[in-house]
Amino acid sequence: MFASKVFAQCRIYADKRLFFPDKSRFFVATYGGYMKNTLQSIWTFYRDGFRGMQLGKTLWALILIKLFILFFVLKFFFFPAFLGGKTGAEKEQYVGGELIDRAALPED
Amino acid sequence: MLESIDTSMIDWSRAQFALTAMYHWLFVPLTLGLAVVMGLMETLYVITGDAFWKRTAQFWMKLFGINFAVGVATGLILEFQFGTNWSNYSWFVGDIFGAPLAIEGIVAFFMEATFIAVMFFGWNKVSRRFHLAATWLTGLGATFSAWWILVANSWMQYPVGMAFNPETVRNEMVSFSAVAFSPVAVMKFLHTVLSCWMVGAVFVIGVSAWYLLRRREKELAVASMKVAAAVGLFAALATAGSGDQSGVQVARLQPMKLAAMEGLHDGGNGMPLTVVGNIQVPKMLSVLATHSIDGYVPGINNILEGGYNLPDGTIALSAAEKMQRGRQAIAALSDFRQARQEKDEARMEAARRVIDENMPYFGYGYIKDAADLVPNVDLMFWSFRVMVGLGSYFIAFFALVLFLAWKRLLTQTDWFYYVAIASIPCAYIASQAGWIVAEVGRQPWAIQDMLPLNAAISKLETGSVQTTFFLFLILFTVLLVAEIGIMLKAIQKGPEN
Repeated sequence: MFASKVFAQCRIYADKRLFFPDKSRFFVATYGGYMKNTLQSIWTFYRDGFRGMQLGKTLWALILIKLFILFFVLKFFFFPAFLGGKTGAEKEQYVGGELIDRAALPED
Repeated sequence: MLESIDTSMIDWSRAQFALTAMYHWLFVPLTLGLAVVMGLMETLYVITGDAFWKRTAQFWMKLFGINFAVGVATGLILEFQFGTNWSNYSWFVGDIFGAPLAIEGIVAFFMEATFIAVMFFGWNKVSRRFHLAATWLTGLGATFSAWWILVANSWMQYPVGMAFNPETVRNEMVSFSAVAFSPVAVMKFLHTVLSCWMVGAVFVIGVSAWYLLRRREKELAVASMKVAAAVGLFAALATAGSGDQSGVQVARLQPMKLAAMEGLHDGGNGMPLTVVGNIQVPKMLSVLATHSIDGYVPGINNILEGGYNLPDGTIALSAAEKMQRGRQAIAALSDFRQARQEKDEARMEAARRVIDENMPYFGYGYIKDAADLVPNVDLMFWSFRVMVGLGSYFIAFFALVLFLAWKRLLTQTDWFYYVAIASIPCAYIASQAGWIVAEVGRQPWAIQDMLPLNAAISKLETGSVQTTFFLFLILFTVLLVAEIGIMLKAIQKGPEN
């Protein structure tokens, strides 16, 4: 399997060498070809992996539902950033004021 | 000047954070613990070439996957709460606190997520060694994640590596290494991760015991028990050791936490350790806290009254003195900000000096009553004993499994199977008890000595916090029930043939 991969790469090299006498374009084409094959392999790996899942499909459904609830329900409706919409200077002003105002005085 | 914050809102926010943290902590220990067990089993497969180990590793990997899938992103809710419920805290310490959390998300989780795909999808597609590496790197990614979260938590217990900037009202990081490798972070990491290995080991032994009880998968169960018990015994002993070191750190850096843990109101030299009730071990508390038979251990009253010698040779301030200095720091901050508005450089400089001198006691300026500095003693006392008691039990438990394995009695000891199954929830209880000790013991501080909860919290309506509390309760309970259901189904089904 490894040998056939090496052979395939050699063929790509030979083909590109004939059509791209210019070295820089040859490098891009060869390297680009190698990258394209790698990306395709990764894509196929994930695609086949996801297709082959059984229990995994249930778990992924659980994950996606959970993430939806977290980000589009909880975060959106119930957990806005308290200081959101304020500039850095405004946050500084607000928090500074809060920290000063909440100090405990001796008579309290 | 005091702006009163509804204490019930503080309590509901604390309860919400505690609820979400405890639910999150139901999933994390099993992820970290099972990662080690399945990594070892796959290593045995690669070394021996025996397909039995491949099948065994794949089975535990399936359970790992279920736990991982249900638990993933449950920690994000804690981060949501920082921004909503604890906005003053987020601004005040975000420069330091945010960094480890960001690294955790970007580096560690990314690493975990990458290699977990190879681990699950890569059987028979990549070489055995590459797959083994992916399995270990998945576990390492999870452990790496834990490191950064524990760095953040450790900083709350022992804030270091920062300087307060009165212009921005933020603590700014001055030493990343001081934060990332603080001695508290190192020990907390070791103690927490090793305790997770114990949880994973107990889980594997408990599930294997169920198989033996049902007279199923004998070979897988016995082999799994042996591997898990070896991991568990090592982890239990190392957890005890790291716990001892943590105790010395707590005695030095958070003496009130230790005093509360022990229910110690009046301390002294050569203090005994209270086991339970009137059962005491002479001198043992001093040994554990100071590694010296006659070491001084302050009690709650001693800490509030001050006047005793600290390990660095200085005299401990009383709570009243610390509160006074804290108020001075806050007043100087107010003065600084006014002077800055008026562009009075000399006054700004004078105020900055007062702030810097009193910054170690800044948080005390928000404390109205010294009694507020004492955490819940009963909860601390019993949580600590539950943790240590169960931890000691597990040392004996793992040793027993190895003994039974050595005597070839594992397939003939029905009574032990019930003990093993019942030990599974005990492992979780011990793990949660440890966090209760750590976090309840830190109260009333969000950041030890620097920021108490009443200063850290956002000005929210109590009703909104209550609403989200119950929403989380429902959501997490559904997730937990789902996980238990899917997990039990997978265990009942057993390994693939």
